[in-house]
Amino acid sequence: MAASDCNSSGETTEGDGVSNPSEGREQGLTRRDLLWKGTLAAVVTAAGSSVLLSEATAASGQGHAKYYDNFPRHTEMEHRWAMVIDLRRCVGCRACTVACKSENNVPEGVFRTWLKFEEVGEYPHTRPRYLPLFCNHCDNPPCVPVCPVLATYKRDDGLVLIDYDKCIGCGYCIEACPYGARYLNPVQKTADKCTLCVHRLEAGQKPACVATCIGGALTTGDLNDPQSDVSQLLGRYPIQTLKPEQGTDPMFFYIGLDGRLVQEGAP
Amino acid sequence: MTALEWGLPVVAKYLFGGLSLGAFVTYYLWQGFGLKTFRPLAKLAWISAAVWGLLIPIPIFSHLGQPGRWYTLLFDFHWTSPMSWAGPILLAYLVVVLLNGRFFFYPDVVLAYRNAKGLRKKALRILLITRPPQGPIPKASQVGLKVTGALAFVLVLSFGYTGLELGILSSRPLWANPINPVMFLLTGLISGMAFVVLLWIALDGRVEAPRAPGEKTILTSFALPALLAFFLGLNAVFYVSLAYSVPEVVQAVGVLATGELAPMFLWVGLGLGALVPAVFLAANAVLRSPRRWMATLASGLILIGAFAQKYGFVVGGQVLAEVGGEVPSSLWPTSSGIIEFLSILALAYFLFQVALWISPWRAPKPAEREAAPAPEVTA
Repeated sequence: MAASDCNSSGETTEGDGVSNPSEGREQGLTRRDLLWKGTLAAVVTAAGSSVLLSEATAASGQGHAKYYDNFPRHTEMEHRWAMVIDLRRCVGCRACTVACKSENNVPEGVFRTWLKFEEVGEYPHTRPRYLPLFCNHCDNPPCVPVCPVLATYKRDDGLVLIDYDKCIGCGYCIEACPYGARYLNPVQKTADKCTLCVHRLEAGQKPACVATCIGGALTTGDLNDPQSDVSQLLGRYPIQTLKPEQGTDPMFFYIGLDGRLVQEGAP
Repeated sequence: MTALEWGLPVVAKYLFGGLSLGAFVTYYLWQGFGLKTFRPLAKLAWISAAVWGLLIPIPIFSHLGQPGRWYTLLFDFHWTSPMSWAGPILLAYLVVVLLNGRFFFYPDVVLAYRNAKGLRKKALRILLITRPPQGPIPKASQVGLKVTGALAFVLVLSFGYTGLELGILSSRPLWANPINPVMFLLTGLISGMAFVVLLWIALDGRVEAPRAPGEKTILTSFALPALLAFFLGLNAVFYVSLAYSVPEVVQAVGVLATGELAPMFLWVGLGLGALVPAVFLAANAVLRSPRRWMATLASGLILIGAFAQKYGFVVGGQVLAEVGGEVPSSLWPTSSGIIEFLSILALAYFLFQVALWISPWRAPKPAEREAAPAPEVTA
C-alpha cells in the first residue's frame, strides 16, 4: 500500500499514476483473518520465548547434583583453583578488603572483596557474624553466557575473568551475578571483579586477601591436588556455598556458614 | 552504596524500542493488513517508527561504559546473550524500515522533490536513492514494499528480545519470568500506538482545525482500550501469581506494590497510565460524538504510564536478591542522569521536527501537483 493512497488526513489521492493497492484488499483480508494471524504470531512469539527460557534455566541448573560429591574434580586440568572460607576463624578485621584494594588498585567507592556483618541471636545473647564475600568463580557462571561480546570467560583452571580490552561496560554480567560480586569500574569503565589475584597465583603466590588474613580464615589451593589445603579442608568439614539454589556451582566454599559447626572442631 | 547499574538510559532504550514497535505495527495494520481504521495514521506511524528506531542506539551509547566499542556487538556475536541479538536485530530493522519507507513514500517524495528547494530538495534527493524520474511519476515497487514491510514486521516483533534480556536473569527474581517478552511487546505496542495517535491529533487533528477525515474512526477505535484491558488483565494475573511465589519473589513484588516504587509503578504506571486511559478510550469508543480531548489526554497518559512501568520494573528488579556487593543507595536517577535523559528527549524532538520537515507526510495540495509539472522527456 503506497503512501500516496493514504495521506495523513485520510484522503485518497488520485491521478498521480500510482495504483490504489487497497483495491482487492478489502476482499483479501477480513477481520477474522487478522485475528487469526495476530493470534498465531503471538503464540509463536510466546512459545519461542518459553522454549529459550526453559533451556536457559535447564542449562543453569546442570551439574548441581554432582557438586558436593566429586572431589577432586576436573583432573584433566593442571590446576583447579578454589577457596575455602572458614567463618569460625574470621574476626571481621576487613584486612582482606584493604589488601585486595591495595593489590589490585581498586578505585575508590568500589570493592572486589566485601565483609558482611550480621548480629545473630537474641539480645542479650547475641554475637557478631562476619561473611567475607568475593566472586565465587562459579563452575557454571551465569555471567559468562550473558556477556554480549564474549569479554567474560572461564579459564580451564576455573577462574572466571574479564577481558578488559573487550568489555563494553553494558553491565549485563553485573545484573546476572546472583552474588553481587561485580561492579562497573569507575575508572576503566568496564565490568570488574575479583580475579583471585591471578597474577599472584601464576607467580606461585597466594592471593592478597589470603596472604593478609590474620585469622587464617581464607585458604586457596588446587582442587586437583589431594594434598592441597583446600582439598584437605573440604574433605574434613561440611561445607556450604552461597545460593546453591541458583545452580552456579561456586568454587568458594564456606565452613560454618550456618553455624552448625562447633568451635572445638576447628583444625 | 552505589548508583543504579541500570537506570534511565536502559529505561529509555526499552521505551524507544517500544514506541518504534508500536508505531510500526500501527503503520503495518494498514500497509500490511489493510485495516482502514489506521489508514490516516499510516504516514505518521511510519515516520514515528523510523525516528524512534534511529533513536534506540542513543541511550545505549549513553549507558555503555565503553561506547566506543559498540561495534563489537556486531562482530562478537554471542547467541546465548539476548543483548547480543540487539546489534543484528536493530541494524536489520533500521535498514529494512528505511527501505520500506522508500517504497511507501516514493510517489510523494518524487512530487515533493519537484516542488522543493534548497536543503530540503537535497535531502529528498537522498531519500529517493535512485535517480529522480522524468515525466509521470512511476509506480513504486509493490513487491519491494510488501517484502520489506513483512520483513520489518517480523523484525519488530523480535523486539521481544528486550524482555528476554531481563527474563533470563535468574539472579533477579522480579525479572526472571517467561512472560516478559510478551509484556514488553504489549507495552511497546500500546505506547507506540498512543504516540502516533497523539502526534496525529497534534498535527492533523488540532482543535482549531476542521475535523480531519477518518478522525471519528480513529477516536472510536476499540484497538487501544482493548489492548489496555488485556495488558491490565495480564498484569493482574502476573503479579498476583508472583505474590504467592517464594519469599524473595514476594519481596521483589512488594517493592513495586507497596514499596518505594509503588507510586511510580502501580499508581502512575498501571493506574494513571493504563486504567484511566482505558476508561477514557472505551468511553470515546461508545460515545456518539467522540471527544478529541479525551483521546489526547488518554494518549498522553499512556506515554507517561509506559515510562513509569518500565522504570519501576527495571529499577525494582535491581533492589533485591543480591547476597553481597552493593545495594543501590537510591532508586531514583541522579540530576545528571535526568539532564541526560531530557537531552535525549530533546534530540528526539529535534529529529521529529527534521523528519516532518523533510518528509511529505501531508497530502500534497492540488496546486502543488500542478505547480511542479514533471520535466518533459526529450527525445
